[in-house]
Amino acid sequence: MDAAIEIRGLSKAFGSTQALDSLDLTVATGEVHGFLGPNGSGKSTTIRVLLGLLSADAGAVSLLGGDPWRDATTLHRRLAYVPGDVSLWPSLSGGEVIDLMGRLRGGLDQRRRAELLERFELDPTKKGRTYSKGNKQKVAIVAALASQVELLILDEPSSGLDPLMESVFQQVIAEEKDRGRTVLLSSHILSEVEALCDRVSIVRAGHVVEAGSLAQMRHLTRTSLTAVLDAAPPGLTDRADVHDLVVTASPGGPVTVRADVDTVSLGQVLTVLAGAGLQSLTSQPPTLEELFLRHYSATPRP
Amino acid sequence: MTGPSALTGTGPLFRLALRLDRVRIVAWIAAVVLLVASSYLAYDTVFPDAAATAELTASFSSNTAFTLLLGQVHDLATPGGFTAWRSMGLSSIAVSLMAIFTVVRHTRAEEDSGRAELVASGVVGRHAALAAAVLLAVAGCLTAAVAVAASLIASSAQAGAVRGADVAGALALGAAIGATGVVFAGVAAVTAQLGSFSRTASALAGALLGATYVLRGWGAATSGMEWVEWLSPFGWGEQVLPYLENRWVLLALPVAATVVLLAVAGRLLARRDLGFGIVGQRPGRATAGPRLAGASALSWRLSRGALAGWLSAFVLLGALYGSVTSSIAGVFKDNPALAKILQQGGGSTDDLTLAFVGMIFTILALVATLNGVQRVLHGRTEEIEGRAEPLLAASVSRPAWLSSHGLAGLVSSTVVYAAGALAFGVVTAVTTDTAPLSWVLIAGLLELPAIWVLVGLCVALLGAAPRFLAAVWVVVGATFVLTLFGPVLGLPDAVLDLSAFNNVPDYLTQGLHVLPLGILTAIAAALVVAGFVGIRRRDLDQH
Repeated sequence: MDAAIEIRGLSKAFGSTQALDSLDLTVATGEVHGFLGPNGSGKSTTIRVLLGLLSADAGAVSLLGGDPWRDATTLHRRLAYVPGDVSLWPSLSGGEVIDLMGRLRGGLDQRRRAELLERFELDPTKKGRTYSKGNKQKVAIVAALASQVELLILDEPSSGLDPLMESVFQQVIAEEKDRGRTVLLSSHILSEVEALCDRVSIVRAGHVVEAGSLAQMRHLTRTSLTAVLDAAPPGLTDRADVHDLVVTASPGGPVTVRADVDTVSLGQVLTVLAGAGLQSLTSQPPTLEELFLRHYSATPRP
Repeated sequence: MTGPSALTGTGPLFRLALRLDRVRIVAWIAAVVLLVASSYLAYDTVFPDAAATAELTASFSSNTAFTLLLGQVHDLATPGGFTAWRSMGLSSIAVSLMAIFTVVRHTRAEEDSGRAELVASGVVGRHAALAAAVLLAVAGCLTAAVAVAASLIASSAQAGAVRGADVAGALALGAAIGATGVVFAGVAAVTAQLGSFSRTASALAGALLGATYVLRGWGAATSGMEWVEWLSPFGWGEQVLPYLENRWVLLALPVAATVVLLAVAGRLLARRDLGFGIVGQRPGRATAGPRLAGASALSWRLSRGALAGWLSAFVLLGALYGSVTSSIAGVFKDNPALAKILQQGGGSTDDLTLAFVGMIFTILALVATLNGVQRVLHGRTEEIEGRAEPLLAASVSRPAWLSSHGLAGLVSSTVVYAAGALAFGVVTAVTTDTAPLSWVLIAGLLELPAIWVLVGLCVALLGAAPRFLAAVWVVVGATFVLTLFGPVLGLPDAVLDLSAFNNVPDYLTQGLHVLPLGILTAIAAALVVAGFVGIRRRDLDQH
């Protein structure tokens, strides 16, 4: 079995709302896979179908080699889930919830449990009702990470954590990755995605619009260049891969060129610039922000 | 904060609460009006002539179970008197429940959900939410009072010309019912300040309602204890004696009680933090006990407090009602005229005692059903609030999850009923010798299939069609009315049989008929199976 999760053509409608529209997703074993998309794009719905909480209208879903609807109970012993909206039992303490969830999954690593409680600075004796939102999330995170499972499904797990706890969370997930665990991480925190994920799928309106490694995706965006040249370079305005070109010439002096260049053709453009006498060059690599925002905003489906 | 600024914002909050609850309140009031008006309109059918009136008056006056439930018979010679006796108890309970739920929903429950926090950050005084909730509850009670009075006046117009006495009686009955509701709005205002969750507030207020109702009935049925009725708001309503004497001045009692309760609630509110009760939170365990390892264990853990409460209440109730059994024979020593009429009708005190025993078992079973229904409905709440998701996403199977709420409801209602029935049976057998203990206990057991049918219906809905679960309360309410009032109102058998409890054979007077019990059990089993089939197919709902 090479893919921990394999989804082909998944569709799901709620009444007249089409939540998932022929969605494809593959998560290889041992990788940390980012699952991104604007609010309401179908990320949580996909996760619920994976967990057998919702049935698919159409499409094939394979989870750890099994059918998530039929074999839910056996498959769930091999995975741990952190929901986006953690709801704890008000009269149980955090420690009791962690132990209960661990027992349902077939066991907790007690040392890891104690270690995680300490690193996340979580008090396990407080009752569920008295936890703040971030601490409720920590309870769910500790419950999932202290269990001995092969797959982690995390739905915006760190959205309520403070920056210090966010960095603790990233360290911990990196450790899980080193242990060979597969992780499906749905998140809005781009720095987290950048730091942790091997591959990323971007969902919009129930359909995956882009999937691949971050390096591949960076390739598809633009680098912004600021160059100071001896003379104006020829033919830049005609190039399709050069955007928002601004050429400023000071009388009798150097020419400043600012542009956004498709990263694919960066090399060619630099050759053109160098030919015009390069004095200084500043290059800004594509930010993830731009990458995702381009996909998040209205782009027509192919 | 004191003075007018503490109540800033009450107006908008009241309008909001009204908007959210108007359908619910109208439904409650409609049910109450239906109950009251149907009693009035059925009078001529039940009491066609003077002889029937005399006989039935004798029969009802000597029926201790009715006295426990409905209070003493004062006057059955007029439709108004009969209606007041028959329907005031249940209507007052309904209006009081409406008041309790309204107050708790717009105070404690809002705090639990976090919406109160959002509101309190606006220009809103500390007491505004409570004031708005109480205002709404009181408005609902007053509307109920007016609606009841209007329906009774209309009913009397149907029978002939409306006399002044009819109008006065109708207004008095409406006012008595409404006033009782207002008292419990006050009770709920206080309980909403105690305890940590809205469920505690409702449970406490509901328990007080049950306790004062039982107290009224017990006082009425136990000779020498009639003064106890004055301790209960239901007793105050009864003593107004609508249609008979219309003692308006007694309405000062519920009004005064409400004022005191609201003052207490206000003081408590001023001293507590938003979202917390006066009773503080204790820290929990750092690790879970060894038995907290599955959905059923979790469900048991979450409900054990409530179960303990129900069990103790039922044991007390059973024992209390059992202590009344021995006084049934004494009714005739005090009233030889009654005895004569009954003997003419072919009855004897032994028959009366057995009939009483049968009725009490039915009443205990009806109330125990509420426990089961509540347990299963709790499962739906867990699902809606997102606490089923983590369990089902772990290794809890869907049938196991349904069973942790559904089967738990069946077991819980059975155990609660058994405790009450046992207490009642033992006390009865010890204090009277009309029937041996074993017979009495068997009679008690036979009610169980009827409980299982209603709780089984909840399991079926939770598993297959949870959106319709709220409608179960309509079925429960109809069952209560059909069982307790149906036979007297002379409804046709086909309608009466819609209540599962009307199908339970009366073992002590008629012997054992296995077929109806078998059918009831089969229906219950089929409903449970339907629930387990449905749970495998449906999507999990959220929020």
